Amino acid sequence: MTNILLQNLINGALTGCIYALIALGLSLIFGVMNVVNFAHGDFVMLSMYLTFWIGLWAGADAVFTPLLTFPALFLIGLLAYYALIDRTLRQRYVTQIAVTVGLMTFLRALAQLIWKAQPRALPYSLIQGSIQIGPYTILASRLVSAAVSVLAILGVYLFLSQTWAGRAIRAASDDLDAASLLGVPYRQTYALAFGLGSALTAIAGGLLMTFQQVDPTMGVRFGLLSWCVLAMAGLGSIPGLLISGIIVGAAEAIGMSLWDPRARSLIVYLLFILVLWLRPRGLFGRK
Amino acid sequence: MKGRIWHILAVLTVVSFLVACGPKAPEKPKLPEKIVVGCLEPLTGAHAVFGTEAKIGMEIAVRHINESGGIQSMGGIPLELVVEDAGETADSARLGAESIISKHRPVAILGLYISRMTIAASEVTEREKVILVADALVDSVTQIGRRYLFRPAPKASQHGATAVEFVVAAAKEAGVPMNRVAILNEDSSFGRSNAIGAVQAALDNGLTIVYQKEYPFDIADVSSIIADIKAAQPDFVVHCPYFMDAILFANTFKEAQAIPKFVAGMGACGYTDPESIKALGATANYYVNTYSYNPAKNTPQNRKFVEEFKAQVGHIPTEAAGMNYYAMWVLKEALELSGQMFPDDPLNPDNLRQAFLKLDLTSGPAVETYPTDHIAFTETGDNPYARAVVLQVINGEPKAVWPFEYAEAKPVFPRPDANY
Repeated sequence: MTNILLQNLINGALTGCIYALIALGLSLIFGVMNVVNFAHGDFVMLSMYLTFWIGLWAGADAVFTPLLTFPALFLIGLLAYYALIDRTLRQRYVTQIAVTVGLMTFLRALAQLIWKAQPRALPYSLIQGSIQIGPYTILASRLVSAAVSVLAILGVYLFLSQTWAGRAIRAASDDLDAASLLGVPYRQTYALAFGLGSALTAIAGGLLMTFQQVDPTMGVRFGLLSWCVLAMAGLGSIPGLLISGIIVGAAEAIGMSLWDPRARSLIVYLLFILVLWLRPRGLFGRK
Repeated sequence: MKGRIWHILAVLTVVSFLVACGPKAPEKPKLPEKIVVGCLEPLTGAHAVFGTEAKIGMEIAVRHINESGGIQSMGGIPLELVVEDAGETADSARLGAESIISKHRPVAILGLYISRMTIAASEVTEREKVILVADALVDSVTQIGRRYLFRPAPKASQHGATAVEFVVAAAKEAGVPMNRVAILNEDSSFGRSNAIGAVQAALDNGLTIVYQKEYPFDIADVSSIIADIKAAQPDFVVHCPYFMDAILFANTFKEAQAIPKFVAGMGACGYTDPESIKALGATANYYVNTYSYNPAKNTPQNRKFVEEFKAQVGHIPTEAAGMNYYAMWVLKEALELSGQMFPDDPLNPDNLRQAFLKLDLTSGPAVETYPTDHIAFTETGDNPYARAVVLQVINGEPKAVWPFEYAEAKPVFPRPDANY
């Protein structure tokens, strides 16, 4: 029983790192602009499909596709910001929600139109395999994905703390008026945050495609999970996001194994409700 | 006297008028120029992959039926297929049924592939007395007392039993002991029906069930389930997946080096269909699944169907397409019989129903494309002679391997890449 528990803890923790990466993108968007982006999960879905396309046409392994999909999703994020989000910033909250829900529906329909309803997968990735440590099997694709996710999260952390653009994003998040007075151009800063938040889904999408398939309905799951991780972590703490992602991934895996796979969502959302009830600003939130 | 004559004339006039306006003998209903048949399948949403193929199977069948002269017993009336999207929920299925019936008034509807949607739509077809030829396999579809519902294909529990019976027979042929089984299914009523059939067959064959789990078909990571299966050390796994989870399981079995001696799919979704083989590549080899349609059945009508389907779609027909192809021919046979039995009103739903119940087909295009060689219907609407076939992916191609008398290849058994 202990072996099964630890095995699932390992599996879940590794998957949770990818959840944290997805949630980081959402955190940038929501934390900076206060925009509830319901389409965030569908950006993950879109990036997985783009990964599939690149893998199919160029024969590239999924793990390398973020080199192309990262700039692509950044541009798509910029386009979405200027075309849709920027126009709703001064509108009522319900207008913003309606726009992002519309974007979510549009992306899903677009995916089904282009790629049809069949799930798409790439051939066996070069990072797939397994490492045996005693009675425990560590899937190489999950290990590499977790490592890349952690590095990406670290990269964003350094960007936000060490670069002018990153500090501008943090300043705009803390106090937009003060940041504007200090010369931070809010529209460009918001666009950068939205673009970066969308681009991070490209890394997650490429990693997920090394061991998963994609279909047009996948966005819902990743969208809800990323909201869960973000709410549990709270705003303003990148290490907190990573820890929350790992908690969510582990809870999901252990629940599926020891209780019932159908209860995976129940466990995650119960945990989410419990954390918010006991600590409304999240486990690590600054605001 | 004069007054009396006028009185009699008046009475006679009134009586004649009443007789002229009184009830007439019913006229024979006029036969339409085309017999409208409905296609109600999920064409959008998560199940569109099945519904689209089902629609194509029906379209080809209607074309073939019309090319062969239409319904001969009704003077060669052709069929006309009308299509409605059933969506992806029970409510959308119900609305789809209402819509297609109110717009087109078909004599029969073929659909809806997904059992919960079929049951919902059958509330409407039953009320409106429209024959529903179902391609949904969950046992309960024909256990809810619908008089106007018929299902030519083998039901889900039969698929589950077939998977286990195949492994037992193949193991006996190969001289490999197979006593411990793990049973896995996605948690819809379809998956559960398959699992029930598999469990019963396992018990009937004296096997030990060492692991059994249900999971949601949209599961994103199955590494914990596969770790648990490996810990239970089954000889073989019987698995009822949907489409996307089959890909995930196959890849994770391989990656985790946790492939048992055999993995037998049941319920016709995943592993051996063209899209799964394309998505999995070499990983798809040696997986089997049970099917309600055998694309390799070597008969003239089946070869014709497979050729046309492949030319149109780019791959051999999947189960959804095949089931609906022969279902349309079964409907054609029922219409022919109804035309013979009830020449005055063959399209009356009760007469058509009687024709379905009287069907006993052992030859013809319907049988040529059917997995076995006999089609008839019980009062509940199921075919008592229905059996599934087993297809295995061998060198990237699905081959029929069971029943042995219809096999086009010897099964590869056990898996040469088994890890334990």
